[in-house]
Amino acid sequence: MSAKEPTQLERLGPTVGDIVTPEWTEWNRKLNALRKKLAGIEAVAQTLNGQQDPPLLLLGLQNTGNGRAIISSGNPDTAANVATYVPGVGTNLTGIGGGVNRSNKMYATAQKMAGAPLAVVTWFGCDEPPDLVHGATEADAKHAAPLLDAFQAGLRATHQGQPSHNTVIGHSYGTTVVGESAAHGRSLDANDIVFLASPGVTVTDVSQLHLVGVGSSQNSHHVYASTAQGDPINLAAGINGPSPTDLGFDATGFSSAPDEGSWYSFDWNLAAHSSYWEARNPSLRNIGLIIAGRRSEVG
Amino acid sequence: MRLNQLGVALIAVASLTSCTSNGTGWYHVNKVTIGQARQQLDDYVKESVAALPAAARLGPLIGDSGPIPCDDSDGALSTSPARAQADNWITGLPSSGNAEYLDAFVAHWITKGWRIVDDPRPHLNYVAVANSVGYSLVLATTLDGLRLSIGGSSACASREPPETPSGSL
Repeated sequence: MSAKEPTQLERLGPTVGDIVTPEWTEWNRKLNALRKKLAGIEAVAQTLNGQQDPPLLLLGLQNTGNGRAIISSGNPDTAANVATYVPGVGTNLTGIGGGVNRSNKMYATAQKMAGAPLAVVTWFGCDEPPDLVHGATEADAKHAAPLLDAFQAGLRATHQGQPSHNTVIGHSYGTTVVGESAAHGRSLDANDIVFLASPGVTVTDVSQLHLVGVGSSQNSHHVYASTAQGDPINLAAGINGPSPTDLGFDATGFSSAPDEGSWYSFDWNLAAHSSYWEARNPSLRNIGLIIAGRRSEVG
Repeated sequence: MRLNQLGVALIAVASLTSCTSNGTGWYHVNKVTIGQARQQLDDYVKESVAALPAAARLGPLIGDSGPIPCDDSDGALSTSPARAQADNWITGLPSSGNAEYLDAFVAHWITKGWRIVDDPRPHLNYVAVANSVGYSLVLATTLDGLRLSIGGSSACASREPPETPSGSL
């Protein structure tokens, strides 16, 4: 069965004498769940087969939940700089190609700034809520946090040679996952973290975050945050804690230009929420600099 | 406080998801396919190189990078309009002229009606220009000044061919 091919039972329809049976409803629910997983696995295969430079390495694949996969652009075991991209709400495995393309753009940008061997990991390693309405609590982040912690610890353990400079980049609800992974008794094995377009990261300031090997007094130099001015996520800040771009949060801020266009009479523009990887956006060069460990040039 | 914030956010996010799921929401989507947008972007990249000294050549930086989604609503990473990407090294030029190359690049695109959208010079040898329909180009050097690169993004373009013949890019 392919992800889209109708079954014979499906073609017959859901009704028996125009009555939808509970058995059919349950069967149809399970079928759609399986189809979604299958489509996700097909998307992973298509992504892996579609690119050779940088090489894509499949670091993890699970059919639990909605389906999970971890793909690296470049070899994280040998790279001097390793970044992990954690996407936000609405992410499911069928979209992993788009996620990898964002990682590729960060890879290219860091390469253009510093040139050192690097890897950027696309981490679809948990079930993200379908949208911020469902992501308005920290429950999914609490479930995802130990998974991200374990992955980052694994990256460190398997690295060959001198320890790499590791960065974790969260976008949207992914920032909540990253924040949860570095707080509340947990430690995240990363030298730097980046919060992009955050609805809150479960803590009130950088001193409550714990990065392995980084003293809490130094956190403001290792925690970066940016949200485009017109990004509607600004309306959601506070749901999972204050925005990490707030001055009181004490992260290192960097600029992110809003996208073109206006949102009727308001200043909000949905495009801004997805514009952080656009070539024109200063956020892209800043992310490249952070990945490359060049914090003095970030701004 | 938390409930008030949640209410505002729900209104905003409900607007986001309902307005973008069909790919015709608040961002501008040109009536071209991603393939057409990639071709246009490649033409802009080549035109940029032509504005530099004649010895300039395009070299590979990464392979054929795929498009970047313009929409993060549920499931949209695989279906939404997306921006074509380009990233290349520029070879054949002495690094001693880096500042002049960036000036020539900017001058060329300003005369074409583009505008500077990011210019951290002299802090960084990096400059970005954009046109009015969503294309952008970046010319930059590595931090050590030894290598020159060009990158770009297209406007948001459809993943499917348009139903009617496309207009201009």
